[in-house]
Amino acid sequence: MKHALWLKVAAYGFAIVISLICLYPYYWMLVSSFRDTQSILSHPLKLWPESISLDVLKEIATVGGTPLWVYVMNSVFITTASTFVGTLVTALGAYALVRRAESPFFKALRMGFLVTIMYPYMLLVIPVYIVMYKLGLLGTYSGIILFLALGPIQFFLFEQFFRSAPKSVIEAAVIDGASEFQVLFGIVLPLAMPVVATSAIITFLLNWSQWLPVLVVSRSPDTYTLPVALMTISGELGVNFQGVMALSVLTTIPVTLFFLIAQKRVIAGMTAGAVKG
Amino acid sequence: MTTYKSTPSGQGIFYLFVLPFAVLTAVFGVWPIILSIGVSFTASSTALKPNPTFVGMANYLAILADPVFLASLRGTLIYTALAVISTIGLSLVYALFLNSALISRGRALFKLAIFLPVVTPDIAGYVVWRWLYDQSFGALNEILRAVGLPAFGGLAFESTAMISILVAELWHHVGFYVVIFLANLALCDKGTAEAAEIDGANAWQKFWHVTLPELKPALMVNSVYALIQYLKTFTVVAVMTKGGPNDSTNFISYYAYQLFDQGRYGEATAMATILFAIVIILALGMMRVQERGAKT
Amino acid sequence: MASVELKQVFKSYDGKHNVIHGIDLEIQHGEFVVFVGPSGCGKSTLLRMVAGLESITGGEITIDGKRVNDVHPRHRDIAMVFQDYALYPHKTLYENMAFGLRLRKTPEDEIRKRVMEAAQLLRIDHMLERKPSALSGGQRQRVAIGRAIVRQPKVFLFDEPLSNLDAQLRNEMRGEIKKLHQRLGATIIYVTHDQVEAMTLADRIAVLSGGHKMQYGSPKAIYNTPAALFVAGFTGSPPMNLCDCEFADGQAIFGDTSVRLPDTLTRKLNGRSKVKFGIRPENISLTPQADSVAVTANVVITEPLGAETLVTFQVGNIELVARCPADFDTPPGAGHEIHLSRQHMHVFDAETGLALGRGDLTA
Ligand SMILES: Nc1ncnc2c1ncn2[C@@H]1O[C@H](COP(=O)(O)OP(=O)(O)O)[C@@H](O)[C@H]1O
Ligand SMILES: [Mg+2]
Repeated sequence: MKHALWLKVAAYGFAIVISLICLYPYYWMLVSSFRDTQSILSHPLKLWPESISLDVLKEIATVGGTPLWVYVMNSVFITTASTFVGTLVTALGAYALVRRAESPFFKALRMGFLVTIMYPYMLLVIPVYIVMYKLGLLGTYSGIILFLALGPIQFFLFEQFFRSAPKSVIEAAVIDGASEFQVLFGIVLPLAMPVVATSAIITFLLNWSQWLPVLVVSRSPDTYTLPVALMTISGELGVNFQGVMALSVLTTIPVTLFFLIAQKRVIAGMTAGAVKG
Repeated sequence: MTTYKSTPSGQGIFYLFVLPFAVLTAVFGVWPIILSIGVSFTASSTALKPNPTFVGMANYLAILADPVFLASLRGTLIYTALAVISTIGLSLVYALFLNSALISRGRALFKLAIFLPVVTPDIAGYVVWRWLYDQSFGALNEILRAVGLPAFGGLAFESTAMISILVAELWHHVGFYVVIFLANLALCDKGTAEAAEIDGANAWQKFWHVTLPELKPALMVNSVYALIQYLKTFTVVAVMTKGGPNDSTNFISYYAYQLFDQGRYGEATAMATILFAIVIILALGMMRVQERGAKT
Repeated sequence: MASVELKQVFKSYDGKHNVIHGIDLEIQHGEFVVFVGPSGCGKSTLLRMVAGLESITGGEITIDGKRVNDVHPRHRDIAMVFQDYALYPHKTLYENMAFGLRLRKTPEDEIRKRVMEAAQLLRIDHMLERKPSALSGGQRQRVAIGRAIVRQPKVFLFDEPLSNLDAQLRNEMRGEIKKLHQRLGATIIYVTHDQVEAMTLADRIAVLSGGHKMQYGSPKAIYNTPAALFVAGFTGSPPMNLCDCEFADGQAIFGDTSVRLPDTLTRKLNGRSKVKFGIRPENISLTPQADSVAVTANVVITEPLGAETLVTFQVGNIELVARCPADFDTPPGAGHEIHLSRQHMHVFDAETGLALGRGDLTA
């Protein structure tokens, strides 16, 4: 099909405008984090900061009485640990559920998981608070990490992979004399490495953004992550506008970079469960 | 899959594999849900005590008599309907547009731009949007003023608050659906479209008779996803409006959360249970319709 | 090398419907047995029960006289070759073949020796460091066979190993598998839906249909004396001509034509008046033969195959395909006299489909 030149120009113009609208909030956030609160409030549309300085980092060196680096370390630690635990647990769980799909117990477990992900997450957080209280996990890193470990996208990714993996390769290994342990670690997991990577990256991106579970399970800012810190100070209206923006940037930039590096994998992985229909 | 009866080692190991997953699902999923449903039948003041008082349906009757809850339920359903329709509509149109022959190069870049907000931490995104909407200092009104348009009410007025948070949510979510539609379009049979073209179908007929039927499963899946997601809308409200102004964005999950905060556990969990029931019924209903569609 | 025996084996996947209905088979040391039948008849299920990949719902399977119903596949000392090769994608060819031996703690030099031997036998010794993705279908199947050989198992199981190959490669590999069997003298159970493959490879063939064993015997026996309509129609290409016929006064009646059956056959009909009549295309000739009956026929179509020509004749109200010499040139529509070998006529019960007898067999 040949299209008139003006039509193509218009189409590209449209796509570029939409893309810019998507990107503008980022850009505005980035620029604002370099501008002092006064000038942001008086000239919100400026496309370039008056000056580039990292002075703002001094201002947000402590947020809500806790040093910024605590939030950063918490974010890195909680996200990494929950990604590691979640990927391992989900991979093993999904594998067993697929291999023993006919077992009534496993069917019930899968059903339980599916029901859980239908439950309004933010409302689940409250009864989880009670459970954590009963288990003595309140205010602990373990509590936060374990709660963040499981997620639907990761589960469906693994389930889909194990379901489509050629059954005969596993059977060949069984006949070759492999125990189920050897089948899993010698044959299946090496094949699943791409999915493990995809799932780990996605878990990292999603868990980095989590705030409510962290907020609820925590007993003090000692276990807060960056998004929770952001939530806390953004409530204090307009107090330190530049600080809020700088903290937003700090919360956003790591995952953005991570996403840009692994974008193909992330996009394909996050949407895999919904494609095909 | 492979089965061999009475090889206990072969069976037992799978229980071992599944154990951590089962524990996490039970402890942070099934158990709290059951607990929550249980609490909804008890008096709030005793809910967390060892021997809570059973009050039957009292909490449910109380919230059904609560005008704020009824307004919240209505608002949630209206918002969900609006959000699902606009999300599916916009993402379908944009995906078709990106997939069309009009865009021959740079599709990957446009896709990246629309997907970036999806992986942005929602809090950060909504914090920025809140400031973009600000009445006195926001960039949006500054732009409108510059081109001589009247100012937009944004989050400050009942009439515009819902639409404002909808726009922010669309920004955050639409990319996800665009990408799913694009992936499904890529799977569509090019042959049928070409055959239709040879048969003399124009662009609209081709879309209506060839592309749309092929996208039907994707439309259903996306609608169910969007439905579940928007019924649970929470973070955007928590960051941008706190339910206001005047409860105009006080959707069920946020309202229930506030009641929790006030220690009204019984009513809060009753609301959670109702919302849960709505999500399950609607999702199952849509899936049923989808299955029937797939069979015929 | 081992013997395998199936006794009244049943299989049900859902606990309600059987897909294998009580099959008895014995397979001797070093025998090459082929399970053949149309897709869905239960061949793979049966083979997988021998392998231990499917549980046995009823009955018993023994290997070397030892009941294996509850024995894990890895302890049955069998090796299996799959239709989709089932190679380990992330391992080199060498490691693919060595895996089973490694798991059995075979000494490294023994592994090397066996892998090299098998690789030379299968002519894949020059690519042992490659991964399966770098191979063609035929090469992959060689590796899969090699992986089975190095294990030196008691029984080899093949599940449609050639189905994914193109026709030429299939013929070539078929020959190689046969040679391999002659060389190793191993017990082999081989599943295929292709009757040509079955005929060329097997010492004995088990013909299956709908989860039932229809016949078990040498290729010759299966071909010459099919025990049932199903077997007759399944073997040979083109398969046996089979048609309904009325029977009266020692004559099979096809509309306006009738053919006198041999007395041996007539006796076996036991007064039935409706039967199925069968004759193989090569038992119809254009010239009189010893003990043949002549009928007039019209040529319907001719299909020259080069070495011979298949001709479809109209005889009364039925059509018969005959193998004719390549120079057959009677045009369609023209009449021609054909001669049916009475010794090679088959009659089957119209209801049960079971063979009633063949012209030359008195038993
Ligand atoms: N895992 C299974 N679950 C349920 N039914 C099955 C399963 N595998 C095979 N069957 C059924 O058992 C019958 C025999 O299948 P199979 O042994 O694979 O046939 P073949 O190999 O001869 O083509 C078929 O009707 C098939 O649908
Ligand atoms: Mg099969």
